[in-house]
Amino acid sequence: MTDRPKRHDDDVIVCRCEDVTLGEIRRLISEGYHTIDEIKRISRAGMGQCQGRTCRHLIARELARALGVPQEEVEMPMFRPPTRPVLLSTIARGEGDE
Amino acid sequence: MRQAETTRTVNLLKEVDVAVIGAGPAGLAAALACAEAGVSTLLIDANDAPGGQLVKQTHKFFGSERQHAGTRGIQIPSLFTEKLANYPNVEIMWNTNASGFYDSGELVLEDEKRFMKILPKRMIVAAGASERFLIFRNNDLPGVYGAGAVQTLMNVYGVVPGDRVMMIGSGNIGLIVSYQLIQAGVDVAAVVEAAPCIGGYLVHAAKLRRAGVPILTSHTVLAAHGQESVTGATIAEVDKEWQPMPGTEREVECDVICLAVGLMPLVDVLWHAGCEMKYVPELGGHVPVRDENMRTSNPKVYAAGDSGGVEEASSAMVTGEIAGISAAKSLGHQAPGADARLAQLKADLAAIRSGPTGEKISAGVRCATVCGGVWE
Amino acid sequence: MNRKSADIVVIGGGVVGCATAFELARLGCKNVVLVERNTIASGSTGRCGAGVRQQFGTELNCVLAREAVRIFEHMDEYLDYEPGVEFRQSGYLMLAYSDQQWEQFQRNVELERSLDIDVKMLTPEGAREIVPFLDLEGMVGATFCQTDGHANPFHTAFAYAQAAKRLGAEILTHTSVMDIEVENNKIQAVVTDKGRIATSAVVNCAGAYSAKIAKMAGIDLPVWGERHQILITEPVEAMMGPMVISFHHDFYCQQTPHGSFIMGIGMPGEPKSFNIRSSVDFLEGMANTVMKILPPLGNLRVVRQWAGLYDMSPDAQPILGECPPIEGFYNANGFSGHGFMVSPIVGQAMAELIILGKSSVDISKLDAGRFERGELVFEPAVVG
Repeated sequence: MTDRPKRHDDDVIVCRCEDVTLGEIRRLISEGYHTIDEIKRISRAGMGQCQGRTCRHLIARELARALGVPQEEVEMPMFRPPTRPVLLSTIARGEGDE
Repeated sequence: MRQAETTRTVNLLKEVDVAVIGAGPAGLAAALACAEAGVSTLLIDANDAPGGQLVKQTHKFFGSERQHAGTRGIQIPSLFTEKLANYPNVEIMWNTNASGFYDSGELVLEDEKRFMKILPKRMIVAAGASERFLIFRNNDLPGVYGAGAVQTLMNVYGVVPGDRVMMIGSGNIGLIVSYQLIQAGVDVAAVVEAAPCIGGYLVHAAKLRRAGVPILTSHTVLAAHGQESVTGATIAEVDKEWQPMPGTEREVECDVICLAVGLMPLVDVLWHAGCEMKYVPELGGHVPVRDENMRTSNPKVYAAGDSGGVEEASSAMVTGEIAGISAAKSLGHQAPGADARLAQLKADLAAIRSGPTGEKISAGVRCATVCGGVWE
Repeated sequence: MNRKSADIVVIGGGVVGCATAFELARLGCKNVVLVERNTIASGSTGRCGAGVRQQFGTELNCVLAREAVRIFEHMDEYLDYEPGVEFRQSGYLMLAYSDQQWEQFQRNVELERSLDIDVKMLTPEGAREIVPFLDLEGMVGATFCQTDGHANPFHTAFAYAQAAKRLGAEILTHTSVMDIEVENNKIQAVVTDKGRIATSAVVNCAGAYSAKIAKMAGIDLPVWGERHQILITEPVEAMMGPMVISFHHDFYCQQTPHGSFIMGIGMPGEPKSFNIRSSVDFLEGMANTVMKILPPLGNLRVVRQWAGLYDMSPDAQPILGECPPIEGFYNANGFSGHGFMVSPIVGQAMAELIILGKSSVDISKLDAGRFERGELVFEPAVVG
């Protein structure tokens, strides 16, 4: 693990669905994970219920700061369907009645 | 070994000329334009009533009469729905979520009980925006609200969020909501702004100052305090790099921390549709690259309102109508005088964006518009 | 990177490429370079169903899988990977829906037992003792192997990549291979968009894109991409141990250690393509199928769907080994949906073959020449 100076907000939660802290995101960046996708895959940040609706932007900002690039250069992962969680039974039932 | 049973596809596919996602100011205007052009139109919204953010806006609109200047935001949705009711070619579905858009051209809708497949010839995404969040310690304590939620509580349900509010963000929303809180008898401890100057209109800021509310620029919130809910917050001054300066921390007593740190375009369905997206900070985040008729890189898909870039309700109504007229026109339908109307709308949009905050928006729109203003 | 050289260039940063790079370095190869056009595990590895099973119908597949499981069992120590690869041996429950299939399963079990793989034969009721909410309609029997399981594909690939780096391998991400220089049937260099790497050996671990890589060396490789789709649900408390799999429905489903259910079905008539976009047909087919076999899962919510590519070969078996007439061109591809589960042993076998000239598990039957010789290896137990 790379030594990294501790920051005042390291223990603040970034991804609430999966309980990932800002410190963990910073540690992964310092270990060389430089894309949102990699950080998501290794930490689960953004894989939860809300699919990263809030945290992916916070992670993008953190990456931009750490890498010294403008945020537009941080590649955003795709948003995949569904836009909100859907019951398998709803999908199977379709428009039919119960 | 391929023995897959062909699973029964229960879900019918319903065809429609134009599907409009979102019944806020942009979606309502888009749907009305489609209705007037005579195309079959399906308008959907995740809420149980029209208006989107308009229902929170008790203030009167500035600007041109064509965009309902002088009318309170809260009154505008019914003006649209009354007109839409006259068109048999319009269907509206409330409490319905756009779940996904697929390469097959299928738009999937879902209302918790039903899963519906639509095959629209054109789709207008007017899904609005979501509130930005802020990272600070204990930001998940009850009592930390988004400004939109506070507006809904007060203006829709008539409930105040607490006794003493600390507002984070001095853009127009932060300033207006602070003033609405004071009018509702709530104490506003301070407005905290990380930038070195106030973001919103100075007229709004002046009203707050007269009411005795300090506006603390170059400040940020470090932590919320409290066991079960917010009882206070730590704020601190920030340096030019936006980093808190040690030794400047101080405690503020409050039972509500209200975040008004900006909006992000809601663009999920545009990602699904494979639209070319671009990060444009002036427009609030990732927005679709579009032409001047609001068509995206996917020729079947248009964006309108905040989904195309965060602005305000007047421009949302204009971009919505532009998208509606253009989508119908691309299907060979238009109402009498539509071309003149389109030209007028583009002129109106330019006028709205020439206002005080227009410079930033215009720069963003230039950045998000396809080279030359039209797709090849 | 300007001009550089390598003893061996591994093309592809999926789990197979990472494992191969690590094992090459472990056998003492000092100058291994792995080239990946995106990031580690960004292709099929990161999109796969994550299952690891030993229940197969050919001896070679059983042995490869058994050896892979033996490595998975100690992988965290073997690769000194602190986060862990999350290998869990919660078993595979394979369901048979016809007499013909049940007979095949029985033959498989006989073979598996002869190879020291402990597999139980179960009645439908016996299967329900393992998964109490299993619907038994139409089911003839089931087999169950407790030592089968699943692992985290991201962590497995990252673990191999980090371990390879520690042994001196160089990993170049965001680097695309543009060409492979060959002279007199000998590999000369790999040309990337970031520069040329002089080398005499290439391992083609490019998954569904392996034919494109082979073409650069003048080789026609019968490997193509085929889309397969998956979905994942919200996490819930642990309620299902094993991976449940049915060839009859072309279906698999498991609960991850995190609590989410991950599931897939094969879609009939999927064309050869590099398409990894999701479809709504899959969502509907999946929901109908899972509710037929595991009815209570209808109460779960889908949070995400995605697609990935199988790297298909004509007999749905991997293509492993050197690829004449080009000296120094090695294949490790064509896994047809089973790459992740065998990757640890494939990495070892490839490294042994390249460095020592012979692998401890005999993989000679899986060379690319088998298609010309007409010696295809058919596996009766595959999904999709």
